[in-house]
Amino acid sequence: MNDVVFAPAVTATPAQQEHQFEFTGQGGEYFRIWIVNLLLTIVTLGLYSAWAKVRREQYFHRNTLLDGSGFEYHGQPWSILKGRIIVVAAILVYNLLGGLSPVLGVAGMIVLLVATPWIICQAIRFRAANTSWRGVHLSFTGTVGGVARVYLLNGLLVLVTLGLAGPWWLNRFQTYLFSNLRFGGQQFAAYPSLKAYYRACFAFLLFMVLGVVAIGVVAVGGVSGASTAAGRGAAAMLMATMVFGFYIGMYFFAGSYLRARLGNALWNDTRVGPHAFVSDLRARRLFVILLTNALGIVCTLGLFLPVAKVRMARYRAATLSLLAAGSLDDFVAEQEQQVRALGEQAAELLDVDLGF
Amino acid sequence: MSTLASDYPGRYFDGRSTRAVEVRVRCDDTMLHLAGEVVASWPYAQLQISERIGRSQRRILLPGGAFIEVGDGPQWDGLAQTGGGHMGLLQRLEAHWQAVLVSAVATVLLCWAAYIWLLPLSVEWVSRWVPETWVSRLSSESLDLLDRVYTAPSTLPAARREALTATFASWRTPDGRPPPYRLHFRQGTRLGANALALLSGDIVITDELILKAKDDDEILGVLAHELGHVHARHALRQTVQGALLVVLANLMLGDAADMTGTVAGLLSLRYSRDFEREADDYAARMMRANGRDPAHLAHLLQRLEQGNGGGLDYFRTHPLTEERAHRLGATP
Repeated sequence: MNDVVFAPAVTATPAQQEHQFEFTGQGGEYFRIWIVNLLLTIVTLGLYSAWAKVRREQYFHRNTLLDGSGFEYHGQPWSILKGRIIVVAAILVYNLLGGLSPVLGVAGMIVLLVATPWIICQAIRFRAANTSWRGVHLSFTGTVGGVARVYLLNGLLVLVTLGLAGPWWLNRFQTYLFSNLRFGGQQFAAYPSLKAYYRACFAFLLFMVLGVVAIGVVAVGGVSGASTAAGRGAAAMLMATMVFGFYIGMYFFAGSYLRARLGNALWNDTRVGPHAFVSDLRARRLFVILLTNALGIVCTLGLFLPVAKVRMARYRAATLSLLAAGSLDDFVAEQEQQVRALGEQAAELLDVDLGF
Repeated sequence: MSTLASDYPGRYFDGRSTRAVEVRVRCDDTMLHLAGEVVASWPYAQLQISERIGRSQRRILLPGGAFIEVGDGPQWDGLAQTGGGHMGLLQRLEAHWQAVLVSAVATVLLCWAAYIWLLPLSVEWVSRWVPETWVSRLSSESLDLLDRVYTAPSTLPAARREALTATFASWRTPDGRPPPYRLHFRQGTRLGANALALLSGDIVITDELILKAKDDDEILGVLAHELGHVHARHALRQTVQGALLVVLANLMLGDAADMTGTVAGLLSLRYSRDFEREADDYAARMMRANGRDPAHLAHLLQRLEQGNGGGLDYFRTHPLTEERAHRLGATP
């Protein structure tokens, strides 16, 4: 495993300027868009969901600002609808095959597994190609073979090591995806530290194990401490409720910790051309946001969902900035590459969105 | 269109590089004028304005791939109507709180209607098209799974098992036919006192349940209840409905994919209680048709409940026992 990549140290020189990402969307505003999307999707029996996705993505892209300019989403609803029809048809065929005979079912599963890298590659390509900032598009230069290597082949090692290689797998996978992004003639470079991934995943596991042990000790102590049978019953009910609450809390906390650590590890070691990213996610703040979001969604039977999504986008943008070495004016769209990408489009059905 | 006398700040991009050029945008009756580092004018017919989404920035698309970023404002909607863009139905729906409120209420009502009427109908329809081979494979798999994980071979005397099988075989369904089923005796171990109906019509009953019963009529009542599930193909409908609910929840909640499993699970509880009621009614009809009192089944249910203690009623897969006993005509 060669995970040590030497990168020039990021130090603030006078030429460097930190540009904070900013999300200007509002919960109430997105609620309106979301509810109209939902209504039209239901009325059209799901067909409108492709147009709904375009509108949702446009809202989140345009409201994400960098140096005062919003991002733009260019995905076409028909491409998204095509992708959705393909996915639904594939799921139907897969289920029917499985129903007809177990052998065909297994064959279908293998085909699906082999197709996964293509699906991932296609989804990221579509998303990158349809995202622009100040008129210049992102692009994804990864290949199906490359994704197959980091996703499937490395995945085998995770199986063989019973999960020990999991953080390594995630590290390699994300490194591959991020290093293959391009923006206006500038290649992204990602070299996230493997040690940070292992540390974060280990701490996550430790949190969960300690949580379960604590629950066990308290529960057994509480129930056996009660003297009467009725008391034991009541204590058990109380314990069950407490354990449930505590477990949810643990899950959210450990999850927030993992998310914050991994997010920071990845973005803080990612560059685009000479510019670096700075990510400052905090586990505690993330925990509060995720927990209140979940409570809000449950208490309003889902109507809080759009507000929750906006709150998350706000926090993510507020904790990410671009440390620019010089001016942000010098990204230039690659005309030739655009043309080549269009050639590939026809060959590989590029204008199909397989990402949900 | 009204004359827009004032001018607005904007940023011009040539569409080839990210270089931002600060400009002032001024509109008159026929043309859009840029002043500042770029000085140019275009007739409205050559322009396109990006749709309004919330209050986010707008883009005025110029011929040849260049564009201007401007802040949102009603002045651009006026332009959009004269230019290529449009102020569509969506923007009008989103802009008025009354429309938003109506949308919200309509969405909730439609979801409810789909859940109450449309889903059972489509489940019914899909279940009819599921191939028989699939059904028999699934049920042999679930019987295997039961034997591997949940149950052990029955320890009841063979004579007792044969007697029960023979008695039930002598019964007639409410429409007067011999009951179509295969009966399997198992020791419940992890299932406890229980009975299950599988997709294919196989019925599994545990030793524990048989031992809890005071007389054979109670056991036969349970078998009739399970036969009710078989008769209405409940197991198959449950499988199909589970799959449909997951697909639907995914479509609706595209934003929160990780919650769909939970939501679909909660939504299926109501159906599962409906299935139980249907099976109870079938059992009652069958018991009466064979000259037995449905109260026998109710008594066994009540005895089982005493053994279990309370629980979170909302999250039960079965209706409340008192309610079921009442329907079966038992005196409390």
